[in-house]
Amino acid sequence: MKNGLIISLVFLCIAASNITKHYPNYFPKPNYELNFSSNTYDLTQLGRALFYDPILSANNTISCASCHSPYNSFAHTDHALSHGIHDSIGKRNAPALINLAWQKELMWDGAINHLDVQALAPITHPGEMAESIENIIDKLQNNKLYPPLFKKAYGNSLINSQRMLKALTQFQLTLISDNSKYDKVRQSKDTFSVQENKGYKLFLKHCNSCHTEPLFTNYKFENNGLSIDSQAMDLGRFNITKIYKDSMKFKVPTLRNVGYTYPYMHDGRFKKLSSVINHYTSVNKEYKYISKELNHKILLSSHDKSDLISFLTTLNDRDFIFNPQNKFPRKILLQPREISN
Amino acid sequence: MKRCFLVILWINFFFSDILGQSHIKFEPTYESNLLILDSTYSDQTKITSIRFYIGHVKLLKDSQIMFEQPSYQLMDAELPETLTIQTPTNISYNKISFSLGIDSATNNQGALTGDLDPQNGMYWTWQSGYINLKLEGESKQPFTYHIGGYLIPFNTYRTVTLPMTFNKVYLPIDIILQEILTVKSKIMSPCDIAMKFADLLSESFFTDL
Repeated sequence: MKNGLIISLVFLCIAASNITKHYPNYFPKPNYELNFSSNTYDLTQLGRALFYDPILSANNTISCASCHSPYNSFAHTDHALSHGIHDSIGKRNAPALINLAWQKELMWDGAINHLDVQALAPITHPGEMAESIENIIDKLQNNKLYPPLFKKAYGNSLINSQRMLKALTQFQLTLISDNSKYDKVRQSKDTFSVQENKGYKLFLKHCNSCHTEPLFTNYKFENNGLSIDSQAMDLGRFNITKIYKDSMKFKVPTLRNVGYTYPYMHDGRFKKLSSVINHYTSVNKEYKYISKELNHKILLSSHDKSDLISFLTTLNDRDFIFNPQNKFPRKILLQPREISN
Repeated sequence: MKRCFLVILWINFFFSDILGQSHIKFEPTYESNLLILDSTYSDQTKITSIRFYIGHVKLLKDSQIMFEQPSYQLMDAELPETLTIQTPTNISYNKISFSLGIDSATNNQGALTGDLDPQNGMYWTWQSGYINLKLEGESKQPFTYHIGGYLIPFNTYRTVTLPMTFNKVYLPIDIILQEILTVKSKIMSPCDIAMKFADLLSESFFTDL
């Protein structure tokens, strides 16, 4: 009896620890319900398999991870614009997929309203994965690998678009980056160097109004004074709202893991952080519809710029980048997977 | 003859009573008759596809709700069974209200299934949102109308209320095309003209009264 009580108490504690918050207490409340308990482990693994599996593209060559690599904080380093099927080039830079639970709208222009339906955009885009949802469901049903994975995740092997999309959502919600040096300093486990501290003060003065800590974005759409790319003619948020003052507004990206996510801006036009900072110190304030946050002149000496970059590197989260839980699921995807029947 | 008709009517009522079910039927029409897909009409117009979402159907007796079905149904002229909404028989009503399209709350719910599965082709993948109505065909030139959008100022969701005693709701496609073809032959995103088209659609429904 007593033993039984102890066992059930231990069980309760394990259950309770499973549903504890998976993010620091200085993070705001997320927009999605986070459930990383043992109950959702199989759902996460299914989502992870789908994320890394090129089966989601028309000719089975492109996966989500093709443009969202774990080693680049799920962005695409060295590629200014996203690459898709048959070597097509997109018109935007693949953003980092981290801390998505806090995003209200997705994509650079906020075209997508929910993480579940985000995957539909690259999957069906003729220059990205060029596949239909119908075909994917068919391919998954006829692939030896997936019916058992869906069964593990959902209790039975029914495969439909909702189940596929929700599994992708679950995996992407687990991609929380919260263990950078900045976080360790906030948690009093580490301290900033003198230079980092100087950079932090400059950051708070000049950058924090849009790249607001602790997520380092306010998730708003802003016009940061970039000239329009004459080839892509991408007007950003205007394409969604059709309001003139929204032209050339793009979502403020997070600066977490900024060292892993170059090149920068919606079209990847800047290769280095120093070019980004130089843009903000030289931007033309007369530019039409420019963000009011950029109305004051940002004056930075070359020392200031180095200090600022030194602070920005404290936002890199090495533990996240090398977390084996986020990587290609070899055990699942490298199984023999000939098509059944 | 009249007697025969009455008998058929009686049998009809009798059986629906046993099943405890009746129905409301949504009928797209052309030149005052039930629309036939892919047939070329006297005005050289051919409709190849008409699909739309009907939801929140309510049958009312004056202002009292006698029947309510909050879900959405994807109606497709190609699949006649989808044009019917099952209702109980033991109710009397003199008014119907329903929505054309998917409301903003449902549009924000993420991945849904059944009639709301994005696989049905009634969902924009590049910009979140359901397509409330698709009307495609040709009239000298091809026309494509994909009417949707749930965000202000382009929220194309509409509510329709009509008097009704029998069980049919008509949508006169020929009259709608007369109004819209001269303005635009392609509408495929949430915009001003999609809003006007949504107004036109919601005003075009009529019943047997």
